[in-house]
Formats: sequence, structure tokens, C-alpha cells
Amino acid sequence: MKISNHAANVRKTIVYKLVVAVMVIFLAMIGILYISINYYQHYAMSGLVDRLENELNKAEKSKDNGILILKQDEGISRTEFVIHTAIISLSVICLGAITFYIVISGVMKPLRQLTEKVSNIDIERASYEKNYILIENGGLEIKDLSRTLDRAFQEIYEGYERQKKFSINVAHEVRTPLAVLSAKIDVFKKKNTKGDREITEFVNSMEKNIAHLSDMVEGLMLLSGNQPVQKKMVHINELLDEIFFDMEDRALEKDLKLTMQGEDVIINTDDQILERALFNLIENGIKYSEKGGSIQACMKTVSDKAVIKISDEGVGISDEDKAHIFDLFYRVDQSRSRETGGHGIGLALVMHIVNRLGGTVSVKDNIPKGSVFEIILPIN
Amino acid sequence: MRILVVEDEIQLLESIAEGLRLSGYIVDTAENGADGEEMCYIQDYDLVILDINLPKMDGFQVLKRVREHNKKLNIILLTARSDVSDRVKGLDYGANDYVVKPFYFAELEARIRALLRRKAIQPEADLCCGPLRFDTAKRRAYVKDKELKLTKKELGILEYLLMNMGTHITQYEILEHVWGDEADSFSNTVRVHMVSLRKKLKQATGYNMIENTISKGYIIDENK
Repeated sequence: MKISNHAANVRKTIVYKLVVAVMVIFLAMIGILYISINYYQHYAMSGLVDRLENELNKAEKSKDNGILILKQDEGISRTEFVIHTAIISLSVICLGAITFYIVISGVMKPLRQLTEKVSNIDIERASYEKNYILIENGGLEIKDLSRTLDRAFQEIYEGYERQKKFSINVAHEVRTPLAVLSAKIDVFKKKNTKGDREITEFVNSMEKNIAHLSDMVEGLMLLSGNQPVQKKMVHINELLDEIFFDMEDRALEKDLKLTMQGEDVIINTDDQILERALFNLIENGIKYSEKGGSIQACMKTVSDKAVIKISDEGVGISDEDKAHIFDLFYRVDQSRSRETGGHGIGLALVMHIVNRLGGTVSVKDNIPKGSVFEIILPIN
Repeated sequence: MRILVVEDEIQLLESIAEGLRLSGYIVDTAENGADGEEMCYIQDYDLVILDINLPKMDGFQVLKRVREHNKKLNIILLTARSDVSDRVKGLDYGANDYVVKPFYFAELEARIRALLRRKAIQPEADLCCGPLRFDTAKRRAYVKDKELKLTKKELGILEYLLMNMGTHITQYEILEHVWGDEADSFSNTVRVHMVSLRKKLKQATGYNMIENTISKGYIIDENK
């Protein structure tokens, strides 16, 4: 039983399949070569052989000794023979190569499928389907490889999820104490309307930090993404109009120009969360801009996709940072981020939102300086 | 006005009760769902602040059971979850409003005021906020006694925000209350009218009166 099982398994391996294919094709090639050269020889020599037979018959009848004279051009020359056999061999080899190609690419097809599936995996996606990359047809080796990969991806995904969930759980647990702190401070302020300067300063500082923490907690909660996406037709420029209005005063402080360009793009999406993503990008642009620059929003449609670009003329992002900029809690420059009041959630949230809406977000260098964030979303 | 606060986190319970007492409300407290429910039957409260996660009986259960006996009682849910499904469930069970933890006490108070005012028969004729005055009888808005030229929808939005001063109002709520049945939820209608209203207000007053906090909503507040 075991042996037959083992034999059956061996028969499914790519190595076995290829060895059998090589043997069959090789035998077929030799066979074809042998038969065709033989046939050619027979054809080329047929005149000579006929004459030889005739002469022999004649000689036998007359019982004479005779001399058979062969002319040189009666048979085929050696060079002619070599050329002809070479042509036959070459075409047989070509035929064999084509057959090999078809067989090998057939065997490798599952491997290509696997590559494609693996390259489609996105760690930010909501969940990893078990057996997503499992390949059922194809050799045993590929099946094994896909099974191992599947398991590995599942584990990676679970680990990533756990890590993300951890911060979300922490955020969840922190909410109640934060609510207590916040309520206590509010009530304290209510009671001590004419408190002295030191107390007022202390309370204000507490309040500011609680607000900061609350913001963080809220951002993390949004990352948990358990809210359903509610899609409707949205004019992107109306969203930007509102965000620009909200940002007007802050942009003015740094003498920044906010401009909008391109066509009026209408897409079917969730306007609430998309507004949040665009808001975060524009806010970031303002934070990292120097005085007198400009922030530009540019929209266009490319076939069935909407492309929204938010560009700034700020400090820009190094290539090394670009790879991590969308990671949770990643900060480009610790001291700078603290100064600008970021907590490493904003861009992670942008990525999360855009992915939930079925799009992609990327960052490039702006010319001559600054960065361009590009969001690509499906129109429908 | 008598208010019942049901919350199992004792520190938060005490803070809320103390804050409300400072504002002149009479406040009773309960630390679990069962006690809370019982107290709702014994006393005639004007308003109940109800936490969702409670020992013995959760907030949803309390809400459902109290609602069967008392349709008029104002109930505000306190939720630590930002889940939309939780809010929808709460509102379906008959809660009048909800506040997500952590909240500003001022926001909770504003919601209480808005709910209790809704109950009052005579609304104030004028709603004021900073330099802005809104005449609810004539439906006109003035900044420093100069009339603002607003469209009908803009006036509706402004009135609703002023009635809920100090509270974040979502686009959905505005759509429900200002547009009503003619609401067309397939467009950015609220956003467009809102931006136009905010621009006009900013031009007239010189500052941004209506703040927009993304994912929380719009708020108009006197202390800004």
C-alpha cells in the first residue's frame, strides 16, 4: 500500500514527468531521424539500385562475366548526402525543441499561476483567505511549494493582524480612563472659574495632552475598519473645496497657496472616509511645507480610474522613508514630528482608507522639491 | 430637572454627576443595569444617561425594557465603541442621542440641553452665538444687526446647528432634519450648502464660526 502510494506520488512529480517526456521525445526524434534518412537514402539511390539489379539479372541469364561501370553522377555525392542528412537532422531537432517547449511550459504553467497569485497578495487587505494560493493542478513539487507558501502567508498575515489589533485593543482600553480624565478636568474647570494662574496653566496643559491622546485613540479606532463602506456618487472637487476651506487659516499662517486643478471627477465611493484621507494628505502637506510654498490638488480620469494627486513643495521624503511612510507609527524624523504634532497614524490611515475603497496610494518626488501623493481609485 | 446617570466606571459616574450638579441639575446615580432600570420606574426622570457596557444588564437591554413602559423619557447612550452598528442599534431601540467616549463634558451638557429644550413647548425666538443672531420666527440671520443673505437650506442648517450649539452634528443628521423627505442621499448636497454657508459666515464675522471635525461632524460654539 505504502509502496504503491509512494509510486503514485513519484509519478506526480515534475521530475518524473519531465524524465518521461524527455525519453519519449528523444526516442521519437531518433525514430524519425532514422526513418527519414533511410527513406532518403533509398530514394536517392533508387536509380542506381534498379540498374544494378537489371545488369545482374542480365549477367545471370547470359552466364557471362561482365563489368559494371558506374558513372560518378549516377549516385549521390558525399557532400550532397551530408547536406541532406544535416537538413533532416536540423528539422527533427527543431521539431523536438518545439515539443519540449510546449511540454515544459505546460509543466511550468502552475508555477506561473503561483507567481501571479503571490504577487497579488497585499498585506493591507482586510483578510487572508485560506488556501488562496493553493494550486491543485500541476506537479507535486508545485503543490508542496504552494501549500508551504499558503501556510507562511497565513502566519505572516495573522501576525500582522495581531500587531495591528494590539494597538487597536490598547486604544479601546484607554478610552474609558481618558473619558474619566477628560470629564474630571471639565468639571474641575467648571468649579474653579477664578483659579490662580499656575492651576489654570496646569489644567490647560492636561487638557491639551488629553485632547492629543484622544486624537490618537480615535485615529487607531478608525484603523480597525469594521465600519461598512457606504458608497455614493461623489464630486471630488466638492470634497476638496471643503477641506481647503477648513485648512485656509492654517495655510495662511505659513503663507501657503492652496490650488485645485484638473477636471471635475465624479466617482462612486464613501465620501466620509475619503474626505478623511484627503484631509490627512493636505494637512501633512501644510505641516511639512516651508513658508510661501503651495499645495496643489490635481484630479483626472484615466480610463476607469480616478487619479488624485496632492503635491507640496515642502522638505520631501527620502527614498528610504518612502518605503515606510505608510506604516503605522512610522515617523520620518522623531524631533520634527513631535514639533509638528504628528503621531504616525495619519498616513497609515490614508493607506487603510484607500485600500478599503479599492484603490492604491503612492508617493513620489515632486519637481523641483517636495512630494506628490497619488491616490488611484476605481470610478465605479 | 432630574437626571439619572447609569455608569459602572465609578470615577466617571462621579465626575458626570458632580459636573451636572454644578450646572444645577438634580442627579441620581446607578452602577449597574438592573438598578438603573428599577430607578427609571420609581422616579420620573427628565433624562437618563445610560452606558452600554454595564454589569447585570447591558445598556441595550435596559433601554429596550424601559422604552416599553415609557416612550417619552429622554435617553442618551454612552458608548466606548465608535461602531456605527452600535449607534444604529441604540437609536433603533429608542435612544434619543448618543455620546462616544471619550467625550468633552461640555459636549454631553450641550446634548442634554438640546434634548431638554426639544421637550420645552416654547422655543426661544432668537438663537444667538457670538456676533450672530438668528430670528427663528422670521427665519433670518444677522451678524452685528446686519442681515446675512442666506438661502433657505443654509438657514435651515444654521438653525439646526444653533439649536444644538456645542454639539457635533453629522451630515446625516442635517440631511434628516433640514432636508427631511426630500433628502437625496446620493449626492454631496449637505457638504456643498455647508461650505457655502461657512464661507458667508466667515466673510461676515471675520472668523470660521462653524468648525468641521472630520468623522465627528460640524459644530458651532460660543466659546470659539
